[in-house]
Amino acid sequence: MKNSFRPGPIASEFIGDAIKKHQSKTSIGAHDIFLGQVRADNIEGKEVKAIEYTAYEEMANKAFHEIREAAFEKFDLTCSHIYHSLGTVLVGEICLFVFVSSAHRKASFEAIEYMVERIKKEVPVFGKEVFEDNTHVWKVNK
Amino acid sequence: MEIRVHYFGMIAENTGTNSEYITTPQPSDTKNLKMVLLEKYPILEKLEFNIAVDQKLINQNTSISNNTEIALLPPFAGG
Repeated sequence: MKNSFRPGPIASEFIGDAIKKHQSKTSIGAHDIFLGQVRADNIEGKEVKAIEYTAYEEMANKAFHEIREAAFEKFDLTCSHIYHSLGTVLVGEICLFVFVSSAHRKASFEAIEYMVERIKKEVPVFGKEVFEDNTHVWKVNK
Repeated sequence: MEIRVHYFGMIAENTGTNSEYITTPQPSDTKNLKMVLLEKYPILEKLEFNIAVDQKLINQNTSISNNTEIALLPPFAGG
């Protein structure tokens, strides 16, 4: 089972490298990328400074795998990749990187939305929103 | 019967551990496991969680054996 988790934030260099690696796959005509960024939410007067991510890793990796497989079945994709952070990700840093590629744009547009929505709903990842004063609340996806 | 139970996120914070063995009556199912857990951790009554049996979420009473992997999962927050 592929491990979709990466320790800490997902660096812009990692994202750039992922794009570069696909230059040799010349049947691709369209990429679409979704990046989740940690937001400085204001909750009852306190501002979030970071999210600490944990996961039920084995179940989560299975879920990521199933979501990618389902996307390949539904849409005419060439490639798909999912990377999610574990541990601390500061406000403004990237915690989710979903990358799909296809011959034409429509398949990529549709697949990225389908995959991100399923990731939010179905993957056992947990987020502790930490405030400046080191108190915290637990994030819940809407 | 001894069942390995894993806790995550807000649930682990309240149980004070990430995993432990829980003794359940036999035959064991998720319903009687849940009763044992609620007795041990009354706070669970107030927390939202789903149960995963062998890494699959369940929505009805499910029988469990010695090798079953149980996890209490609070609401998801990925992405």
